[in-house]
Amino acid sequence: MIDIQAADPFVAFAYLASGGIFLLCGGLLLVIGALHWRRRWRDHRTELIEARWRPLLLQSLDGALPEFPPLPARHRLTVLWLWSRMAEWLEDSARTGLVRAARRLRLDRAARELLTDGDLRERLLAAVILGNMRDLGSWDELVAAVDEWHATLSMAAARALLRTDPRRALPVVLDAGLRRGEWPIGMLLAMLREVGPRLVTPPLCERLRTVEGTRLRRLLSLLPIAEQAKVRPVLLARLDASEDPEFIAGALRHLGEPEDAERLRRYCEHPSWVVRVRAIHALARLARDQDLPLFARRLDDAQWWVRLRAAESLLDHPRLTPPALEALLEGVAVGAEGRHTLLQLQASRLGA
Amino acid sequence: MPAPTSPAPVPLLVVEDNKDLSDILMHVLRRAGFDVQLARTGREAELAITEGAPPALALMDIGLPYKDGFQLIQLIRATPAWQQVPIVMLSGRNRREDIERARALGADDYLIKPFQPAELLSCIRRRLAARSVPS
Repeated sequence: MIDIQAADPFVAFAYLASGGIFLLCGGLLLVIGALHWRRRWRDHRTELIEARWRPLLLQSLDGALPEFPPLPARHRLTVLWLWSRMAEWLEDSARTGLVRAARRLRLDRAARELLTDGDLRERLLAAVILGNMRDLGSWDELVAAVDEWHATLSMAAARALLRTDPRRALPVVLDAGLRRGEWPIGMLLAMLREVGPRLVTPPLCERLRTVEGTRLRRLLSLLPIAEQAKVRPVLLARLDASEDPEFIAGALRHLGEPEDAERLRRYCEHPSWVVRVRAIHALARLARDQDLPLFARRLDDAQWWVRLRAAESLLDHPRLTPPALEALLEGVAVGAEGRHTLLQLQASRLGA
Repeated sequence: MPAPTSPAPVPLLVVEDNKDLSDILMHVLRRAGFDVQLARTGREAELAITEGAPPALALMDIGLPYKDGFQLIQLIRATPAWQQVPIVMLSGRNRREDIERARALGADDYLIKPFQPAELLSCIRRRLAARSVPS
C-alpha cells in the first residue's frame, strides 16, 4: 500500500487516477452486464408470450376461432408484432381468420392507439397492421399519418390506405406522392402497381390535366403504370400546351408510336437543347429512313449533346450503310464539327 | 382448412429458416395430414438429403443460411435415392430469372410468398398425384 501523503505528487496522482479508471471500468462492466441481462430477460419474456399466443393465432387460420384467453395489456405489443409477422406471409384472402382473431382480441383498437400515441417504431407497426386488417375504422388516423414528416411512416400509412380501400385512397396517396419528393418513386410505383392500372388511371389522368411544376414532372414517372390508351391523349394535350422544357423533355420519354413522328420532328427544332436531345432519341427509336436527313442536320447543332445523340441515331440506324451515310452527309452538307462528332463516336465504338 | 385426407401421413421435407413461416407451414401441412420434417438451414437440409430417407415431396425456400435453395435442388437431383422427389419452391423472390433457374435445375413448381395455403396444398397434392401415376 502506498502512503499517498508521503509519496511523490506524480505517483500519488497516478495512483488515484488508476484507481478511478479501475472503478470506472468496473462500473461499465456492471452496466453492460445489466443491459445484457435485461435484453435476455426481455427476449425470454417475448418467447414465453409468443409460445402462448402463436398456437392460438395458427388455429385461427383454420376458420373457426379458438377460445382466446384474456389478452393482458402488457402482452399486447408482443402479440401485435407476432400477428404482423404472421400476416405478412399470407395472401390477403388467406388472412381472414387472422383478422377475425385480431378483432376478437381487440388488436385493431390497440393498433389505432399505437398509431396516434406510440413511438415511431410502434406507429410503423400499427400502420402495417391496420393495412393488413383493412381496418376502415382507422381511416382518418391513417390519412393524418400520410402527412407525417417521417417518410417511412407516411408511406406505410399510404400503403395501408391503399390496401383498405384503394379507390378512396388513391387521391390521397397520389397527391401526397406528387407533393413529397422524398418518397422514393420506385416505392410509390410499387404501391400503385398493387392497386392495378384500372383504378389508378382515372385519378392519374385527372392530375395530369391539373398539376404544375415539380409535381407535374414527378407525375410523368408514374405514367407507365396507367392504361396507356387513356393516359396518352391527356399527355399529348398537356405536352402541346406546355412551354416548360423540363416537362416537355420528360414527356417525350413516353412518346414512341409511329403517329408521334411529326410531333417529335417538331421538337427536334425546339429552342431548348434538352428537348432536342430527347426528341432525337425518341425519333431514332422509330428507325424511319425519312428522318435520316434530320439527324444529319442536327450534327451541326450548337450543343455537343445534341450532336452526339444525332450521331448515335445515324450509326444505330439499322439500314444505313457506310456509303449511304457518306452520301447523306454530302447531301446535307454537314460541317466539320458534325463530321468530327460522328468520327469521335465511331472511333470510341471501335475502341470498345 | 380441409380435414386430413390420407390415412397414413405422407412424409414431407420443409426447408424454411423463418420461424413464423415455418410454424405456419407446419400447422397447415400437418392439418392436411402430412408428416412434416423441418430443416431450418441449408446445412440441416443437406444432412437430411445425404443421410435421411427420401420424403414424398420437398418444399423449399431459396434464401437459406449455409446453402441456398438452388444448391439444394442440385443436391437432391444428384442424390440417387432422392432424384424422383418432387420439389416445390416457396420463395419471396419473384424475378423471372430466379423462377427459370429453379425450374432449370429441377424444381417442379414455384410458389411466391405471400402465399395462399389452399393453393400450396393443391400444388402439393397435384405433384404427389402425378408422382403416384406410373409413367
